[in-house]
This record gives sequence, C-alpha cells and structure tokens, in this order.
Amino acid sequence: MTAIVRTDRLSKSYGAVTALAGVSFECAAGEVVGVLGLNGAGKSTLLRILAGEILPGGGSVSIGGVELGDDARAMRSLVGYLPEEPPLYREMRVRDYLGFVGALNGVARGELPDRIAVVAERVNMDGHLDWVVGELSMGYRKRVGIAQALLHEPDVVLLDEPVSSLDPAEIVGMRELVRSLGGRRTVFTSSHHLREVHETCDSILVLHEGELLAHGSQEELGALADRERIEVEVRGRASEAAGRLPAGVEVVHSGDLGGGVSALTLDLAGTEREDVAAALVGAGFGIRRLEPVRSDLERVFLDLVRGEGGAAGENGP
Amino acid sequence: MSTVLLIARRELRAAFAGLYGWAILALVLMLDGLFFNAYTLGSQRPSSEVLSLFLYTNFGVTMAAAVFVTMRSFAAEREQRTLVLLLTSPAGDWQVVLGKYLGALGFVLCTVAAAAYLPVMVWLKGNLEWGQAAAGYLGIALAAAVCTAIGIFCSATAPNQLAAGVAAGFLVTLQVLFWLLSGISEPPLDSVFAAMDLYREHFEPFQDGAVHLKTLVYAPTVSYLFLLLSVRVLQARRWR
Repeated sequence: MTAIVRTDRLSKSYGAVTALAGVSFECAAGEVVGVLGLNGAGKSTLLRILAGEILPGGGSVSIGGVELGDDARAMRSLVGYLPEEPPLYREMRVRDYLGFVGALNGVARGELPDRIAVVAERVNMDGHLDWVVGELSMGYRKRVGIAQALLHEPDVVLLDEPVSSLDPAEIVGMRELVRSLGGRRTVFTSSHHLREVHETCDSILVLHEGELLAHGSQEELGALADRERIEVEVRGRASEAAGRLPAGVEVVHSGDLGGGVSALTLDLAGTEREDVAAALVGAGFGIRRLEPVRSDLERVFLDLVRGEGGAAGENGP
Repeated sequence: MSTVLLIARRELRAAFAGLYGWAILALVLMLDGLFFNAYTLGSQRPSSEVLSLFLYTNFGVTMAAAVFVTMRSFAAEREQRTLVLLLTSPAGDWQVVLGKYLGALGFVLCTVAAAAYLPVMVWLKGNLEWGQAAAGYLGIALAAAVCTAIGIFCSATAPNQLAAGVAAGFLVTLQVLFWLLSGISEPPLDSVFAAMDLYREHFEPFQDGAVHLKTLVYAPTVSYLFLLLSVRVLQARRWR
C-alpha cells in the first residue's frame, strides 16, 4: 500500500479537553475514508489538522510525503477542505468566488475558467455560476464548498460532515458525489451517521473521545465483533427452541413465522454454530436454515465505543 | 506578491460590495464637509491656513475611518467562519495579513481621495500651495498606514468586531495622546513618549508643508511592528 496520508501519535488538546490522543494511521491513495465517531469524538479536529488549519500538540502528520512540521504550506497545497459550514463569501458571485479560491490555491489565471466549468459540472451547479452565494440554498452552498475544495485538483479531499443540513434528495446526490471522488483522490469524510459511512467509504476510522479505536475496511471492522450472530429457522415453537440452546447463547430476537416454523437470531459468544445445531437437533427441532448474520457496522461501532468490542488498541492498518 | 494582491483586491471589493463600506465613505465625506464648512467657509483665512485646517480634520476623520474599516477584517471573517479558507490555503500567514492590510489601507485611502474635492475648491477659489498639499497628504497616508496596522492587529486578536473596534479605537487614541504623557513624564521617558506621538510629533509638520525624515521611518516601523504582531497572533491561534 502506498500511503498518502500518514499520522503518528497525533495529539491535540483544547485547554484541559483532549481532542485527539495519540492517533496513528495510514491511508492509501484513492481511498474513501470515513471518519466515524460520536459528537466530540475528535473528527473535526483530525480534519482541521490534516487541512493545516491548526497544528497538533504532539505527533506528526504527512500528506504526499510532505511533513506538516517541515513545510505546512506545501502540505496545504495538496489538500482541499470543506469544513462543516462552507467558508463562503456571501456577497460574491459563485464564479468570482471560485476564481478567487482557485487563484489563492495557485491555479493559473488562464486555466481558471476551464477548471471552474469542470468542477461546476461535477457538483452539478453549472447553471448557478452567476448566482450570488448568499442567495443559494444550503444544498447548493455545500456544492460550492465542495467545488472550491476540488478546484486545484488536490490529492486529498477533506469533507467535514458533508451531508449535515441537507434534505434527503441532496443527501443522495452528495453520497454519489463523494463516492465518485474516490479512486483518483483520497477522500476523508466525517460523519456520525453510520449509513453515510457505510454507503460511501472504503475504509473507516473509528474515533471515540480522541482515541482511534479501529481502522480498517468494513469487513475488517465486522471481524472485530467479539460475538458471532446467526439466524436459525426451525420447525417448532420459538420459545421452546430458545430453552434448548447451549449455555451462553443469547437470543437477540425470536418469532413464529407461521406454519409451525420459527426464527431466532442468536449471539453465540464463543459457542460454535455446530453446537447450536446439535443442541436443537438433539431436542427434536428440525433445522430449515442456519446462517451467520453479517456483522453490521452499527453493532460493531456501538461495541467499540462502549468498550465491549475489545477492539481498543487496534490502531492503524 | 500575487497572493497578497489577490487577497487585498478581494478585501477592497468586499468593502465596496456591502452597505458598510459605503456608509463609512458617506460618513467621512459628511464629516469632512461639515468641518470644512465650520472652520473655513466665510472666514477670511489665507489659503495655506484653510488647507492646514482641512488636513487637521481630515487626519482625525481618516484615523476613525481606519478603525471602522479594520475592525471587520479578521474578526468578521472569524465570525462568518470564512477565515478557514485563507488559513488552509497555501498562502503564508504574512501574506494573509499583508493582503488584508493593503486592502483595508486601500479603502481608507479611497476615503481620503474622495474628500480631495475640498482642497480642489481651495485651489479654484484661492491660492493653493502644492507643496503643502503634497506634504499634508503624505502625512495623512503615513498616519493611515499606522492606524490601519493597529486596527488589523486588534481585529486579528479580538474575539469579535466590537471588541476589535474598541481596542483599535483605544490604541489609536493613545497614539495621539502620547504628548500628554510626555508632558507629565520625567526624562528620558518624556522624549520617548514625545517621539511616539502620532499627531504633534509626526503629523503636524506635514500639515504645514514640512516633510520630516523621522516620520518616514516612524510610520513604516510602527506599521511593520503591528503587522508582525498580527502574524504572530495568527500563528499562535493555530496552536490553540
């Protein structure tokens, strides 16, 4: 893996409040990385440091091989950043605003009109370039915010809560846009909405109270769950089948499906599937179906932040 | 340098894009006109004295304009959360500060230029001494440079626009009251305070047509000092 973003024991405090505590990770070029965490987890602080807006209290950051401590300006030139609230000059027209941001980020004057046209089409607002920014809806402001982050064709794009304040249709559009940015650029998108991360990201950083609890693909995070979950369909009553399960198996959900068939969702907690099957068959229940439930992100996330997943310390790739 | 000019141009355009800039310009013209009317029209003063009085009032009005223009500079951007755009760009902190400074100074000098029709009236109706006018405007430009730098520093430091305005107003007022301090101080402090006084020591001679080399050193030095402090404030904020 060629790491384009690398942090090493990154820390940051605001007075007595620790926002980041020894966060280390690496991300490959072209990845869409979800930064997941509850409010106050340190997501925005991490993105602000990667964007070069603030400096870490300790540790190091490098983007594209450029260390923040060595050349902050060079590092900032490799990054496009959309804060949660787009930094827009309300009195400017969209075209003028993008022209200003492009020039600020070193885009040559002659290239600006073409670049503006390309990013405007990309964020689907080419018909709004002559609008005054202050007259745009929040959805369009977010689009202008993303356009300004993409204008200088950065290697890394940082999007802080890109779907906040958007309506459902705008959220779908934003999701597609974020996905489409991956491949050519490394994209970090922060959210406390699991669905956004689940649907848009290749890998996930889970932050909680400033600590990196886990980092990996969704499949890798799923494997962090300490209990396997299975679904079983049996002939017989659900309540009776539940009473015949091996010790330690937890019934998450059960119900009768009709026709003498019941379904149970079970957390195994160390028990093997074969033991469950043997116990049920031994008790006279015919098994119609038994299969593992893919550990969903929500369960893993909650296990991690509650400290139940035993995954703390799984930092880094 | 192109980044500095880019930021300066945006600042200048932003000042003229909203009501705020035009309100300041209107206020400057109104005050300059009123003072000119009160002090000179109808009097039998010689042209040089009329021009000197105009430069005196224009000096005060320009200082106030510098405070009102610069109080928005960083503080308003921080409140509107647009400062992040500059801080995360490849522009250096000194480029950001210098760009904002030149933009604000450009606007302040526009207000000075807008009121220049009053000396033109002296020229048309009286006997204007061009040397005195040139020296006077040079003095005003130097004073504007100092006051704008003070305002930029206060705007970079203060938590909001109002606090920035109050702080800048205080520091600018202090600049013209150093002669009071020099009057009640013992040597050598008295001469130090006197040397720092913006009006008596550094503007009054220009008002009467004399260009002093010490002021040509003083104004850029003080401006540089406050701009340097502004850069340090921006850098310090990145560590917070």
